[in-house]
Amino acid sequence: MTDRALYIAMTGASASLRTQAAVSHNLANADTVGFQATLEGTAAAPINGQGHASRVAAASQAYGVSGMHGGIVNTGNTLDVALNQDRWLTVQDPQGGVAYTRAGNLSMSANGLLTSNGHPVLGADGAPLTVPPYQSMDIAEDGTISIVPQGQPASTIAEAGRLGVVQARTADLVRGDDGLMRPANGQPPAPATGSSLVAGAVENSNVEATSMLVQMIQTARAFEMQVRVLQSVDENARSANSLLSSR
Amino acid sequence: MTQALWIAKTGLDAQQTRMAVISNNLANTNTTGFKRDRAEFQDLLYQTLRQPGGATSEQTQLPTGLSTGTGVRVAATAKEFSQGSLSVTGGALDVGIDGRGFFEVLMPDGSTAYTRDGNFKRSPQGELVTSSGYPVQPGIQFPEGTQSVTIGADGTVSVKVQGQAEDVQVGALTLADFVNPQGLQAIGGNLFVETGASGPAQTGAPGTNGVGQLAQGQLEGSNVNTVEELVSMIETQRAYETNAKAISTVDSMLGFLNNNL
Repeated sequence: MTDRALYIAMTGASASLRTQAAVSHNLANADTVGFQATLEGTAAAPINGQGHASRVAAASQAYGVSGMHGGIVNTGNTLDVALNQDRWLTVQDPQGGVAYTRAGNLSMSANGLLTSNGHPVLGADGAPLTVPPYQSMDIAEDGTISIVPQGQPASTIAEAGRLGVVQARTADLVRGDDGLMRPANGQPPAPATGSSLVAGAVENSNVEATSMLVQMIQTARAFEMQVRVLQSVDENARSANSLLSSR
Repeated sequence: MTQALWIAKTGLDAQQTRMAVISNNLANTNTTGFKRDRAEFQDLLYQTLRQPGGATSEQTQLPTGLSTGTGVRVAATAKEFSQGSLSVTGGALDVGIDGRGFFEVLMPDGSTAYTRDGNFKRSPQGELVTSSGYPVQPGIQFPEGTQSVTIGADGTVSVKVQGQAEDVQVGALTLADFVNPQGLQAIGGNLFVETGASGPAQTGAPGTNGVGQLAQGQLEGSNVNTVEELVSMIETQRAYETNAKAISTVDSMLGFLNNNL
């Protein structure tokens, strides 16, 4: 029967196209601060049924996100923070829930609310972090924000809250449709202890352009092989047909 | 058609925008009081095709799901308000700001704009105006026969008038500051206007409440770092090329499919 080979090669070809979409997404985000590459692959999906168990289709599978550390770029910007390995910034998602991100290019709204990509940053106490008007600001390694309040001499240092930073392995988190990470098992991760971040720098995307290009070529070649299989199956069917019709 | 082509296209778009931002920064390397922009990227929404944790049978769950990203966009261009270097020009009406703050400018339509460009002039009516002729607020009027002007670090403007022994104080310059200067909208001509994101202007005398001091005879250069911009330019070009490469690869995959089946 030709249909098995035809359909199975087809699942391989469409999985290759999907992988190519993931590679394109990673490459498109090669300059997005705090972005983590999508790991995409295929899994064997045996088709159960009568007869010889030869039908194993390919199913696309996302293996979460890459936990590799991106390059650190010094920006000198007071509001930029680069997080250490396995440390995550707590933010409020649009539904009011808690989510985690590594995008440390923070900005401040008119009333002093700190945001990351538009999501309010939560403090260590779990509430959105607001910084009062200040003359100068400094973010410590543990996320403590100290400021010289407006109108005060430079010797007056006040604490303006602490960034909510948690500690979790990348593998224990899943990425939602909004690009934010949430715990896979629903349990909130533990607050981070000790040195968690570097201020005045951001973590770049952890996409390695070179390996992505190699993966792109490899996927393209795999796709061509699957198309070749489709072609051979087609030829087989054609010759079988001509044998039968010549009688 | 396949998603990969459209995803790679968003990458090309974003890099093109970033290149425009870099070009604008480089073009304004010598603009007085110019503040550089930075393009900020954000990943687009993800599409979940299979939910991680979904049940595969009564006892088993999907360990990982299937979600694909849909590309990238430039979410914002953020102005960076770091100090530009002050250079000595010697002009009596050249004023640089050392620290935070903006001069207030009265626009022809009666609205207020803000600038860090202290390249001031004297209008035919004796007023202190910007190089575009817009009056600086609060208004400073130079009396007839003004020989020399002194602007103090705290904004005090005093003049020496012909035939008088004593200097006369004719007013004081103030500076406006914002909670979030990055929220200001640049309108060109070295001017910014207040927005909902910047917060209202708080005016005060230079050197108080955290605003900077004035430096007469100096102008603030742009804070564009040419080397940094050139490095960003190379990076942008390479990122553009890899996205273009993704398009051509997917195209050749589809071409192969069309030619061989």
